[in-house]
Amino acid sequence: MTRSRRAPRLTAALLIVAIAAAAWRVPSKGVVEFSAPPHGWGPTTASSSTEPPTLIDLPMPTPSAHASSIAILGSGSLRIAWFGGAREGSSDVAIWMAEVDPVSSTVGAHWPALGRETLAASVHRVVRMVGNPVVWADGDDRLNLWVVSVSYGGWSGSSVNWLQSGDGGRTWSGARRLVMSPLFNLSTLVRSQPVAMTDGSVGLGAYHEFIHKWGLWVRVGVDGRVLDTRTMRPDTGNWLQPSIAPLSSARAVAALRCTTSSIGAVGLVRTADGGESWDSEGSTTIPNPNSGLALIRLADGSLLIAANPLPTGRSTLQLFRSHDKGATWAPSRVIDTSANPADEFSYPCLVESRSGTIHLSYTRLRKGIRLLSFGRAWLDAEGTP
Amino acid sequence: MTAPAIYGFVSQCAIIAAVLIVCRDLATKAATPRGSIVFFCVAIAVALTPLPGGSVWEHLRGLWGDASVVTTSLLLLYGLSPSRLPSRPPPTIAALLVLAVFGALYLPVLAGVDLFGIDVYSLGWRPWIMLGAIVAICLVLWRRIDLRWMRLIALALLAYAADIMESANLWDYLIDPGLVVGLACVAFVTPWSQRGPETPLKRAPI
Repeated sequence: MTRSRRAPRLTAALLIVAIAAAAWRVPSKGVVEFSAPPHGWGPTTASSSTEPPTLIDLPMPTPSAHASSIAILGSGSLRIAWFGGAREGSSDVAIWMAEVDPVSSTVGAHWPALGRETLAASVHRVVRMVGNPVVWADGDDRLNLWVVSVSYGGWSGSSVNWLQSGDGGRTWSGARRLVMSPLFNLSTLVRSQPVAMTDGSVGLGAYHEFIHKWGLWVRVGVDGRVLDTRTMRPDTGNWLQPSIAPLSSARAVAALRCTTSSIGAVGLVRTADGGESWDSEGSTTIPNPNSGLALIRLADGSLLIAANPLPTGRSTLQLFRSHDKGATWAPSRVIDTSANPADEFSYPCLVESRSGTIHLSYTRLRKGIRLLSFGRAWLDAEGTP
Repeated sequence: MTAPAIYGFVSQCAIIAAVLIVCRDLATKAATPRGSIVFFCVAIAVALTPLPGGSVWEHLRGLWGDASVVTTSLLLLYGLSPSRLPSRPPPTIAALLVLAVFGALYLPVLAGVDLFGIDVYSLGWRPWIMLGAIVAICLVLWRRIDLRWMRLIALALLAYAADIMESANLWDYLIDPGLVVGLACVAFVTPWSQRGPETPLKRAPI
């Protein structure tokens, strides 16, 4: 047999082997469902505290701090992460972490969990900025950290990295970079708390920020590998930072930050198939001046949003509640406010513990991170803190 | 180093070596391709040169990421053994590929709108449709393009199976913006390369 006759056969054989190998590598779809929260899907009527919130200002080792995220460990202890440094985007910015005991309302140690040099060495590429940490404890009490990094350009040149810790955030595994865009992996970021899926994967609310802005549902496997992505657009216009609240094993609603001034309100999308598709639902009645927000489903089945409900500025942080799965929203407690429109109380993060305590952290004046802990009943009581 | 980091290093070295060889050929006005292992050694030395914040290859990786397996393979062939490069695809096929990839993958990122409501990039996560399309395209083009392209596609699929890139999306193993620009040159500007030998379109039957 001549070489020219063998070549097509060898090529065909190589292709068949390669296609079979690739087919073997394709992740199985499985059943994609949201994990039930600790209190189950049904509304819980258990009473909760009407006491005023406990308030903790985390110790700040840097002049500037922003974008906090809360993880609840199995012991009930909290880990709060944020990025801090001389100013946002400066070379000394690192991801900081603090431990908080919610029972005694005391802050334990705080430490720099991840610097840009450490991350750069781990992902083998230049890292000029880090930001937007998202922390979350899985069922095995491993702490997961997703963090945004920038090699060149501004935040719209970001990519997302994933690390894991088995000791509560003291030490971290090597980082894995999550590729989610075909064009130089340009401009993918995270900000909001993830949601657990029944197959062990995690649903992340990511977003794209370069030129046009939209939300991105990202399902990540236990090894940090991206399994799936879906776009989330409440309407025409630009939307960021989806915050996702599962309503049942298949249904969820996500609230998005709006960067289109002509809309200027929190947007919603919904899924009825475990995140396989997200339907637009337009904007809510909650104003949004292009500022971050947080959404969770409480144990009683109601939804809670923390947002800056102003036409411009971030000088008021307020809660909003919905008892009809997000169809209508009613104003609830004002968390922080100032007469000075330049003041900022922003980037809230909401989580609810097994005991029903709601923890809210947010950026205060870009100088500190404040943690409020309160019971659900306090939301229903009159008055403001 | 992890497998994706090693691949990233090889990919950046291939880019650096290709640039060095192009510069050499422009300087010497060479008409015929000449591979050079020396240039790869020089490329490795350049890649490892330390700069503030990381070495040269880590800077380049941060700037444009890793090239696809197909592009990296083409660059390695270009630098080491140009005679083994696949012949350029017919301009019509190249043009169709460029328009399809740009319209389906890159335009949605730039314009913020999915064509026909389909997020084509997301097809690469569980790429059953893509694998079916690759089989169909290979069958259709079997006698129309150089078989060496098929081997490059097979190599990309094997790399996907081995999970050697950071990405878990099959698109990133097959194609990247640099390859699309190269194909666009073939289709719309000038013949991609006078380096590789023209391979007869018709070959002996199997």
